Amino acid sequence: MKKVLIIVLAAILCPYIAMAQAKQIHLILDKYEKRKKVESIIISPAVLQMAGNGNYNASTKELLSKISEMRIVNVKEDAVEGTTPLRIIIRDDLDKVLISPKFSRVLKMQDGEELLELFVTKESDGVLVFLATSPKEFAVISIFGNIDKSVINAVMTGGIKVK
Amino acid sequence: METIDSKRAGDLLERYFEAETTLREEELLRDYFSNGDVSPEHAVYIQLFCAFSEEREKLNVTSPALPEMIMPVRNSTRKFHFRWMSVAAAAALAVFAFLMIPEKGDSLKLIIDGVNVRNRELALTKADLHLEQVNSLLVRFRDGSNKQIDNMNKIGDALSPFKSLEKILTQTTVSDRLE
Repeated sequence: MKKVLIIVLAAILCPYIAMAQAKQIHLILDKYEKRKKVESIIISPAVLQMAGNGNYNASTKELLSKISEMRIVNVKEDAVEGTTPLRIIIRDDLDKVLISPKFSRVLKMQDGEELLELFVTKESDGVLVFLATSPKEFAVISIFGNIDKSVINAVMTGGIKVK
Repeated sequence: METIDSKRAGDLLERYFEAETTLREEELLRDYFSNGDVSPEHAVYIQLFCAFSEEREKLNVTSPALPEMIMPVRNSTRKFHFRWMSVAAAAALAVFAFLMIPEKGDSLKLIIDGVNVRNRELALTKADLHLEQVNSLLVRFRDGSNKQIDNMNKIGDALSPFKSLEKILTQTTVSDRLE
């Protein structure tokens, strides 16, 4: 009976261990989402589907079925904690997670003062994170779920829309 | 072992039916009826006391079978506890899973400056705005990549005459060596 309990516990805990990276991103976003001059938007795939009035083809539906949640945290340039800009603090916290062997940087693009980076967990069950830096704001756009090639391709080609 | 005669037995029987006998006196009565020397006037009570004796023999507390009779009861109690333990463990796991699994329902949340804003349209508009910004950057990235690829192709095209020249030169060198 003990063995059965151990197996059941392991079966329950394994997905959470695999989702540890996603959990870390969630924790960072949770930490800063209620600060002043910060906007946070959390969208479930059900809302994404409804936003499109259900007019999706099969491939888009399949794509949305892989996404468990989308979170956007936007920090204004004048948001500060003490004397340090909040964007730098959040970026430092995110770098501790993103600059690790568990993530790979898929894209880094600098256009003038705008910088766009895309990080993806190496394991498919995880998170995709866009970091968009501009003089006016710093935005973290994260998509949680089964992030496979189809999701990355869709994101890269602007296939995921809210409206 | 103390025995009683029929007269004492009669007295004890009267007290027995009045529920006034002591345990010791009841034991004397049982001995009296079980030893077979019972007066005819008391013969009707033999069944009563011998039946008790048979019952006592069946439930003999000194019997070696007693632990066997008690053990199953203990086992069932243990099984009962264990069953409840496993039910409690399963319930705890279910609660744990319920608390840990992220919500996948119809949820849309917008927080601005730490305030929960219950405006679905505004939330979708803001989300769309951010995605559009990212998409426009990606379009520029794709355009830039295409331009770079075009430039690389142009360089390749420009270099192609040199490649043919190199081929001719190589062929000439090989034929010279053969000669």
